[in-house]
Amino acid sequence: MRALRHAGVIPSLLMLVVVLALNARLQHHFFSMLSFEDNVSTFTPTILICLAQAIIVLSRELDLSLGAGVSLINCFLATVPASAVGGPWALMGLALLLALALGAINGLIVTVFGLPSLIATFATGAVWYGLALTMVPQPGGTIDETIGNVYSDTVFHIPVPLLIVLAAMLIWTVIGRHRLGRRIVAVGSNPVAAFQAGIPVAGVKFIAYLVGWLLVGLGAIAISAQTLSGDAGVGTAYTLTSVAAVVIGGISLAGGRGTPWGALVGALVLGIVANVIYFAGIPSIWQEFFKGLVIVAALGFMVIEQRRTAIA
Amino acid sequence: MIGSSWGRPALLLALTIALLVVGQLVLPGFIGLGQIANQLKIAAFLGLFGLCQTVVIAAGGQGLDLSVGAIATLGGILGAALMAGSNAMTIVGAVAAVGAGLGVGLLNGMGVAVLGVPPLVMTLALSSVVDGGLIVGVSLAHPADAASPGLVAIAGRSLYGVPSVALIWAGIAAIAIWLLSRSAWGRQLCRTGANPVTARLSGTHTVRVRVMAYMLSGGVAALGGFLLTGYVGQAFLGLGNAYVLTSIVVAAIGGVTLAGGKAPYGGVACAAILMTVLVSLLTAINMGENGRQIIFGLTLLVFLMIDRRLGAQR
Amino acid sequence: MLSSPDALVTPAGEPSRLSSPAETLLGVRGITKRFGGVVALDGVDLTLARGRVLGLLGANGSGKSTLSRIIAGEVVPDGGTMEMAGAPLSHASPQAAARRGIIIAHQHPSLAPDMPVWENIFLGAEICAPGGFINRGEARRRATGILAELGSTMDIGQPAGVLTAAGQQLVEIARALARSPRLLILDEPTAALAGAEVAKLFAAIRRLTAKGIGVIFISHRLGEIGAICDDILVMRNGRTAGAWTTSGRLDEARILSLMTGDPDAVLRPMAARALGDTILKLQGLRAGSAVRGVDLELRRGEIVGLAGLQGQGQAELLEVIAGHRRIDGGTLWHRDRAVTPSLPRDMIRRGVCLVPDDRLRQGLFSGESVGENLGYVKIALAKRPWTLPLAELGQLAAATIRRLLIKTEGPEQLVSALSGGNQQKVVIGKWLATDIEVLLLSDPTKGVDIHARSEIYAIIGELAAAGTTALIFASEIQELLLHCDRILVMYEGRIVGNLSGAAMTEPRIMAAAFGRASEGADA
Repeated sequence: MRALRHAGVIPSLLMLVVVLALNARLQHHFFSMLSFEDNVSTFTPTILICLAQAIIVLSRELDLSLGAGVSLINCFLATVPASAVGGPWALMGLALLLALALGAINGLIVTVFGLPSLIATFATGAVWYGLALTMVPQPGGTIDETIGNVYSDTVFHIPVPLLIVLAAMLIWTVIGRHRLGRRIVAVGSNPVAAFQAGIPVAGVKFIAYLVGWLLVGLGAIAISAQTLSGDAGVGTAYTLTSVAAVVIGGISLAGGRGTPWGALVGALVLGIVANVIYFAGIPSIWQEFFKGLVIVAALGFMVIEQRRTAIA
Repeated sequence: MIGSSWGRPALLLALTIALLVVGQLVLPGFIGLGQIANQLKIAAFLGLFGLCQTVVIAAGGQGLDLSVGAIATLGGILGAALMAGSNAMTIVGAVAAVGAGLGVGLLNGMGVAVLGVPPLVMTLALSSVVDGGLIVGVSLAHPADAASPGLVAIAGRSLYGVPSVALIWAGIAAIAIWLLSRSAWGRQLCRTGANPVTARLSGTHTVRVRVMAYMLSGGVAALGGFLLTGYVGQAFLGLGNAYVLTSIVVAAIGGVTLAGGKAPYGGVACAAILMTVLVSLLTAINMGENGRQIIFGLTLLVFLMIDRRLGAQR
Repeated sequence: MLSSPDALVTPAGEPSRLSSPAETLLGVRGITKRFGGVVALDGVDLTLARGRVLGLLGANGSGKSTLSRIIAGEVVPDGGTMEMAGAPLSHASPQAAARRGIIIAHQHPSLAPDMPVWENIFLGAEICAPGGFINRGEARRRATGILAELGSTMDIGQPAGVLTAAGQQLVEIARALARSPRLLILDEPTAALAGAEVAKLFAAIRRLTAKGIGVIFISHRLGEIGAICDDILVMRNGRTAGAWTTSGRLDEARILSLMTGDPDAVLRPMAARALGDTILKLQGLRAGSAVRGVDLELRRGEIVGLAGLQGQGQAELLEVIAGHRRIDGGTLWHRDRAVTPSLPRDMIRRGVCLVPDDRLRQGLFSGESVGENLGYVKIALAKRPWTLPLAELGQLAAATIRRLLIKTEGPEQLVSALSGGNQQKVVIGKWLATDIEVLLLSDPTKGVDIHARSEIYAIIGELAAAGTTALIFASEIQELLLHCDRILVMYEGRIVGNLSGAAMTEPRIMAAAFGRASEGADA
């Protein structure tokens, strides 16, 4: 309980309960299997990308190129025919490798060249977006249907998207109990202390980027499986969403404070808010405005809450 | 050399001239009076938005204003709605636009300087509210969106061959350079950015300085959006979006470091000209949006690394 | 002068202990280190035998901390050699030093505030099951054990950031112990600890030395040095001023004279000065946990010292008066007016100016020139912020440089290139742009050489003669005794002693500093 309070998850859990209650009231058959599967497959990419941002933020860095990276991976999947690389599974493997490569580039720029991640990933984001546009100038193209089928399939009656989310959380739980995960938090909490304790700060941050981008890769594949086409703009919104989810989830942008569970909650809050706005029958023109307001309100709530419980 | 106050603009101008020469060699006619006037016009807008970032980044604390695009759109749409195509109301539109920009900037500044929200988060969140609000406003009210003939003339015409937008920009730039480097307020801004603790302990009202920086950014962005409406002929949703990325790029290339404390607007203005010429050259050789984005990103990275090297040497 | 090897006199009683190479754990020869223009270490030698505790003494800024950080691999020396257990030591990183068994516990613990105590203890040296998974049970058990050895029963699950200063210090020491050191460096480990905790720490140190571990113990408290140390090394101005083996009773006079380098220092009695009206008055002032109800009264032209053990709220009190910390209760009177400053600007306008604790981070813009720093206060208070009176600022800077004898190539020189003493003069000098009524100085001579030190006090005296009131917090009592009209002693956030005239003696100040209020009552 104390760990929860310290992680700052309680206020975000409260928010989650509120929006869930609203959603359950507004969405017919919210508790039916069909709606559940529907919701899960919609939320999965957001959750994965928010988790990615969370891990990077925990190490006291930031990545503003996540959205553009998602677009690039999506366009890669839409451009390269599965048959050319040995089937859809190989293609997905390559997409994950691409994600790792992008993460490695960002990680290197931040750790080896020492550029501030805020603006450096802003720059690499422009490059990713440019490359995505080069591959898919106009939204279109097709992605191997197998990928879509895999995504909407179930294994032992469990929908695949849910499995992916569970796998991602499992990965984090494993890392979180591993030396590596604790070192990511230590580096974010106090880099000087970490350095003095003999922790290779740059290496740990680099690995945080790699782990984060692996999740970005999964998220991009999930999005592609839903749209089955390429679009260089498909990931753009995820950058803001991921940063907002991280803050709503009680993860300090100053690093070291919070858990990926918070990011999960933050991502769910944002996803369900979109649901609520949709099912509440709010005219479409108001949706953007309400979304913005909710984000601002949630941020304000979290900022005030974090101030109140701040550790001196 | 590149780090000194004159070296940077000189280098950027030299690069611009080199690009112009390359352009002339590849595409004869690239350097023409009309061409250059046109580029100055485009550079003026970029330069205005670059000023927004210059001021807030200099104010420190990971300063950044990602709401310049939304504020510009707000300025354009509000201005167009109020002037409703009439020359007489143009000034009212301009004042309202700038006022709205100052208001949004005030909110940004309060969030950042008083509540301590990271600027990235604050300005992004507010920009989503402004964008959302504009969608509602435009859809419900269907306001007039055309620029008045007077505004079109101001934004489009030239005076003795010099585009009047460029003249406006030159005036604002002169004021900005003087304010940032030759006024007590500019010093307060830069010192607050460089070391807020020393600045505060030395008697600076650091909160007020930071709030004013965000207000200034909002006001200039709204003015930029208003003028943009005249240049394009009408206001529309997403009018200012393209300037969010590019304004940060020109600020960084112009010599503003994200750590805060430096506001070399002369360099930023030169960077705006350089990037405009670069884009027009890339467009002239039929490079699309994709190539431009990649080149923008890479240029930014290269300049960041140069600055990093220079910083490390000192 | 005293740094020559023959100063390393070994008493006839036990010559073999120090000289035998087999027994020598650490040998340091001729270490030098400069920071910018400041010489921190100027050819220091040090020898430590196994199973012994070496007391490292010296005034603030004598180079003790730099030397210990060099041994621990955190700072790379400019010259000199080091030997650990007979093999050369040339590590450039704390990790390399740790691999050789050299572990340092810092004076100011650097902990990960968001992580629990037990994880902080094993930070970077995690206790893992095969595969790298943290063995939480084992780690928590060991952490509890180490802390118990230090006599602490703190909750090891709480985040380190919520601990008190004493708690954090214990965690820092526990962390060093957890790494099974062969050579343990304790940098002022007792500064934040209470008496009982110190006794338990000493018992733990004794258990270590019994196992042959060498300990370097840095402290300001002579009593502790006498209680725990086998050997003594006194440093002054980056050099070895003396080294010997203690035999029973500690020769405090000798240590003090070596530390100050002025064995004949006689207290110059302060000439009684006419004092003006009350300028500042505090009634029950409270702020956070550091300032817990302070009453004091300052009069025009008075030089008042603020003494006490480290961390009793002195620095915080000055920050409260300067408007940098929020007042939680009580009243701050300036002349006849109760004021509640919301930021330093409010007090600066009333002529109350702070020379802060940390010159480079709080007092100066380290990336700017001397002139820019000297003129900034005027810029910050400018009535017409759209202008910049460059000529006036230039004259101001030149005049201040002359008046305070700031050694600089000129106003264009970067302030970070100056020596510590001259940097401090710039911090004081920047206030000359306003009418200073009250100058608050927080440890103004930290890291400043003796010459500049006396110059700084001369400046304060000159200002006081002109009617400025000075309130000085200094960690060295001698300094305050020499220069103040009156000394206030703080203990646990309150003023517990107000000494002046003949009552102003070191023993009475120390008595009050240890909270024995009856002895330090008003003179």
